[in-house]
Amino acid sequence: MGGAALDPRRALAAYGEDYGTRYFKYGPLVEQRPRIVESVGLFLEESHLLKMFGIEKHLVVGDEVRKFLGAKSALARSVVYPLTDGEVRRDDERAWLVLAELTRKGFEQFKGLRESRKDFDGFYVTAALSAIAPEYMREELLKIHAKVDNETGLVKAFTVIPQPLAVAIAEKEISCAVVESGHGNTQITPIHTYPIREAVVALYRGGAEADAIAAEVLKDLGYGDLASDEAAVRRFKEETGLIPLELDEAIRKAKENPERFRCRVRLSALTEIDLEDKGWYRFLIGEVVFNPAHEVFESYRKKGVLSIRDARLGEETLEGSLPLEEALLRSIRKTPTALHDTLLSKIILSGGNFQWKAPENLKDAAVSAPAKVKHLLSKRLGGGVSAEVRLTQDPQFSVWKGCVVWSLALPEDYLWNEKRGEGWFKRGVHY
Amino acid sequence: MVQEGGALLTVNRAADAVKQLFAQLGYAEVEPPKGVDLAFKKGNRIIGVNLVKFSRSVVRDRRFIRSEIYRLLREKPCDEVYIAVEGISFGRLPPPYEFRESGIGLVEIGGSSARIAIPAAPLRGENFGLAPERSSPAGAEASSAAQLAEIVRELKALLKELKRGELISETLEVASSRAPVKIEAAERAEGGASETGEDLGRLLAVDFVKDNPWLSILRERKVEG
Repeated sequence: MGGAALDPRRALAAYGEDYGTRYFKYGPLVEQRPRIVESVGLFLEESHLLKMFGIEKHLVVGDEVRKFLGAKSALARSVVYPLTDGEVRRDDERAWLVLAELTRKGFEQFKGLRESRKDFDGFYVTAALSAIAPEYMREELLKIHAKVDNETGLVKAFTVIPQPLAVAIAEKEISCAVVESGHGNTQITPIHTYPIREAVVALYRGGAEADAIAAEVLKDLGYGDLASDEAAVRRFKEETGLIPLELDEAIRKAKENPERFRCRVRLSALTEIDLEDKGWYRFLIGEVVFNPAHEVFESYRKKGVLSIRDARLGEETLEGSLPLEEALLRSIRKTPTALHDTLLSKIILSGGNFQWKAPENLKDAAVSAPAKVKHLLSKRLGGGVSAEVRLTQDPQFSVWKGCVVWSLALPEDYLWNEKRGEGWFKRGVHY
Repeated sequence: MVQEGGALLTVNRAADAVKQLFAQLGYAEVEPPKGVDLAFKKGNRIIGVNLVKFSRSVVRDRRFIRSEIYRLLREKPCDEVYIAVEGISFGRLPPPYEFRESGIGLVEIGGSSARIAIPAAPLRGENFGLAPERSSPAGAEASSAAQLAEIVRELKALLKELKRGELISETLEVASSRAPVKIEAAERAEGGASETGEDLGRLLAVDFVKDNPWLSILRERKVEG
């Protein structure tokens, strides 16, 4: 390891936060894995019954929400998922309150360090946001952390990095193209020591679109009542969804030999779903993130199930349903020519939305996400171009890992610089 | 009596594994004298074994095992004494040389079997210490005196280290009792920061940190102008 030596105290103080659309992952490097809570809050209505039980809170977040879940009708009013497509609206006060509470509760679990160690002066916190998160999100997060520091003295320095950069760091790659597909969106970010911001593509589709298709499939199979049960839909998606190598061919094979693609999912002791001869539906769930423009999705688009926002490439606007390989190539073309081959040879897929099963007995039709992207690129570029695509070693936690490495190594005096979009916001300097 | 950070509990599985080990070595189990959990006899030699169950605190375990070594050296309950632990973790145990130099042996229990990780040296009796051949009464006396001096020196070093460990542990005990930080890694790092980066090395060996080129790239980020 070159450069100046690392400060042992920094190892104790390195802390990472991954603000994902579905989960918030946080914690110090010393734990070696993040803690995870669902990114959700529940605003409790004033209740004499709750007061009787000594509950004075109006907002509960994360896993605690489950304890308070009552009638389904109340949920829509009271439950807040703060992030949509990796973003929080500036004026969404309730969402920011949830995010602040999630952050505060995270630090609360480590407050003993401050009290017990004289040489512990607070954490160096690196938070990861979507690569296309607006600037005000960083500003709001800074306010939240400054407030936490004011209350607890636990945030000595704070910074924000893009999630794809964190993935590249966790994967130890200096030059690569990261495709991060989470619940809310899919970000393509070429990286060469720094993220190449003008080449970042943001596609507003991810696990949520796969969920939407899975819910429609449930309706088509006669389980309309389950389509509104988020957990049931997600479980069904995870158990049945397959990525087709070639969608048309996979559907043809599944229709010709339905028994081979048949699948039963037991959601509870009382509910089992049998796809019977509709096994071909499985490929729709896996295909949607790669090519939602395929004609097979036309009926879903007409029904409004797939309404995908326009995508962004730097400052440009792109068609939201642009095929993934096309978006990837457009992003790489925005980088210097000298980098193209390197980036094509190191494409890293990350995020829960690339975690799909590829059963051995169906391998002629269903493939893993890297195999699919590689296939799409060779089709587009011809056999002469070799693209290497791999999945992160730890898709769920790679963003957090990159954050703690950033916290560990970024020099103390490297203060925030607007132009670079990097550096520490520090106690005593910025708050 | 099985010790867990000073508390008593019974763990039959660990005891069974140790009994099986010494049975295989030709020892017969005997009533343990005060100060050890199990005792075995072969000829005139009695071997004692203390079973130690790890607690949730790495530092507390290390301190406790050191104090056990010291107590066993002082009390000499048997001719040879072993400390038996479930799985060897260098964070939780004093360094191997402390076992070797003190003469207290280490037994590692893994599932239903056990093995001798560090052999014990005789604590008492004719074979006390690693006595050389005695050529004459005067030579024997000189040799014993030299050995005694060596043992006193080692004990002093142990005691010094023990005191230093206690100072660190006291701070950490407060931390672990107040903080809901549940995991041992945190405790390791807390200790590490005080122990001149010893545990920094451990953290740098974590898969996603070790040999990560970004460490040097980031360290070289400089303030412009």
